[in-house]
Amino acid sequence: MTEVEAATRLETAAAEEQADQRVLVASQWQLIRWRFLQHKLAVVSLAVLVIFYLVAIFAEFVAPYDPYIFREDLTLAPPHTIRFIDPEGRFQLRPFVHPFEKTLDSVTYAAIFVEDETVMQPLGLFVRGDEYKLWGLFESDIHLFGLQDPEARLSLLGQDTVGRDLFTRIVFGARISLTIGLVGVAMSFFLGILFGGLSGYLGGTVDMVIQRVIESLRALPTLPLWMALSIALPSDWPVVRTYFAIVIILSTVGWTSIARVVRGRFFALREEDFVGAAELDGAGNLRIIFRYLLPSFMSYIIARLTLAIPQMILGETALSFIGLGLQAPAISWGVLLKDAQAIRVLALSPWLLLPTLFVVVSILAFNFVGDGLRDASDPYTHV
Amino acid sequence: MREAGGRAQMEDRAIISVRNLVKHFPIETGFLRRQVGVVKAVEDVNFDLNEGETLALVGESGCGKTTTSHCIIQAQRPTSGRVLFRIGDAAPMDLTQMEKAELKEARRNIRMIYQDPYSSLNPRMTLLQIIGEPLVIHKMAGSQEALREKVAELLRLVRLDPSTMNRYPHAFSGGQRQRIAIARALSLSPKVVIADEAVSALDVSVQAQILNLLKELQNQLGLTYLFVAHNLAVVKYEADRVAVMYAGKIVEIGETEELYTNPRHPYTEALISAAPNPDPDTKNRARIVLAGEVADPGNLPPGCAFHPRCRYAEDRCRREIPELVEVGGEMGPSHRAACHFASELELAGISGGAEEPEREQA
Repeated sequence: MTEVEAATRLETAAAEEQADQRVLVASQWQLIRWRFLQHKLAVVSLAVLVIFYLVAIFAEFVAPYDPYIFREDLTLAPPHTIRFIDPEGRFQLRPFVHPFEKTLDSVTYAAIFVEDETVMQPLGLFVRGDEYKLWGLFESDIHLFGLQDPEARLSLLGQDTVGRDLFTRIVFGARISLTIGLVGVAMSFFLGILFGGLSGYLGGTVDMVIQRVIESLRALPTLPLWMALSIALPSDWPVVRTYFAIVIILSTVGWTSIARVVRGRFFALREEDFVGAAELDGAGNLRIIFRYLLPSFMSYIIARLTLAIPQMILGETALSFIGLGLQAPAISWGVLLKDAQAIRVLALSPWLLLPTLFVVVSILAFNFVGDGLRDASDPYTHV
Repeated sequence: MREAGGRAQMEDRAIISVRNLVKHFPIETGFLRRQVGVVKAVEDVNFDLNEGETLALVGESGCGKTTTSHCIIQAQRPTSGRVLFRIGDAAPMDLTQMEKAELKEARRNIRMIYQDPYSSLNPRMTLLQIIGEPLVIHKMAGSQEALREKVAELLRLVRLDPSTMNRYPHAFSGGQRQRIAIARALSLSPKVVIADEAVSALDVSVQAQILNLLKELQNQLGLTYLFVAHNLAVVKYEADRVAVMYAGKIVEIGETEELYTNPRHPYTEALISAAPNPDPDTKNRARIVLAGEVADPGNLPPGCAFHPRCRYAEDRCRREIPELVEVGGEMGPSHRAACHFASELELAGISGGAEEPEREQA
């Protein structure tokens, strides 16, 4: 008996030496966080995404202008060069821009924007500008940054075809483009767990019917399906309703892969000893599903979903680009890119393609975060 | 009526009586799930588990010992047969006829320890949650404070430090995990514990600790064990009685000492001779190597299922299925074997050696 105690103590001591004391009491989510933090690229990407979402949330404040106010005189004006050295060669602590002066090319009648070096328009933080109502609640006219002269216009990323500020519109576009992925994925998540769970837990005929439906859905080419469904949307619907309709369209296809994963995991986990032990403990079906089955692969599902968000963003962008998704006056990155369809734009106003950069950066960031989460999501494999 | 019949069927000391237990698995094929055969995993098994004893169920992989234990606790429903369970002087209950709610109550008294302590503990739950789960489900915990108190007591019982109750299973070694599994099994103060290869997945040194612990707990709490194992050395140490299974049937059952020294079935003899003996002085012990695989329960040979591998087999063995009959004589405790020549063969037990190492002609 004393031998047993002594041996146990030895065993305990040996086990404790190996593992950091913190790891022993760490919950699943703590372990995942530690693993995730080791993935530097994922951490940087997460920071980028947080900034993007903060910008989207506070779009009215971050954007220097109202996205619908246009300046005819600045149609297709190029981006400003932000300067620190004035024409006399002196260094200015406060950055400034020269306003554009528009002239016409005497041969082609193309607009030519020339910087007027006699005028210096300094930039400022928290400047007053167009009035807005943040989230429809707080009235203000203070913007994060802009030109100190409210009448002048800072062309950070150029102006669009009717003289609206492109940077402002990209900021507002982020609001729709970045959230459509989240809402769509949340819906896919819900549908996938519901149908995958039913399929895996009930088995038999239910399983067979659901699996055949999934196979049929996956066999459909997605682009024609989206086109067909979006044509079915009435064109006189308000922007918000169209937005949700598109989310639903995107998730009708998105849920199938998640349902497959959930089903497979349910099948595998039901054979695990600890699930059998729970049944013998007297745990009911719901308790087993929510306390034993779902937590065992929730982290994996979250990682999968993070990788699914970019698909939703791309789907929205693609649909809007070909004119079947969101339509003006709604602002999304896809809608903005629609302006860049013409070859003339590519040749003369390449800045109109800049929304693509934001699409690419956000999708890459989501992918890296998803990678990091996937590696970290099962912390028990390598402990 | 069922109760009266049950009482007549149960021996006085028995807490669980298994009667004519049969478990068949259909072999299905094709899209329409046509049944093309049947795997006879457990075929007409009878035994009594007496209160306070340890009965070991031994045999090769695939002999049906685990299926038998699962059929007793109704983790798998048997095809036919009865599993009678009785607490004290109460009327015996047939577990096979029970509905879910009744079973939940019965399973408070019959608990199970799994083989692999790495897969039998939910990695997402702390010790407090794992060991406390049965108490919570059966609403025996009361407050959170009472639950912690009870779990701490159980952890002390299995010689683990109660201050570790907020840790997750990944922080523990294999032996410690099996202690956790034992604590979970004991949390409802059961009468019977079914240990399904409870030490097979552990190191030999750790095995001894867990076996000692199980024995100690048995003395302390008056537990009855059904010990499923394939290691005869482990069984010799732990069990009062042994039942040897082959191809879904019990081929020999008796007191451990008697069965080890005086086996009455050729299969038992082979098993004993195959058990590694750490004593260097018994060099001359013959090892009987069985040829071939364990009989396929989906396609059993006619007659005695063991005859293709039996070195004593005669024509009768190929035709007639032997009954499990008493071979221990009138005086001694019950010792039964299912072999046509049980009373004639000179079989080697653990102390004696066969005269000449006679190798199996494969």
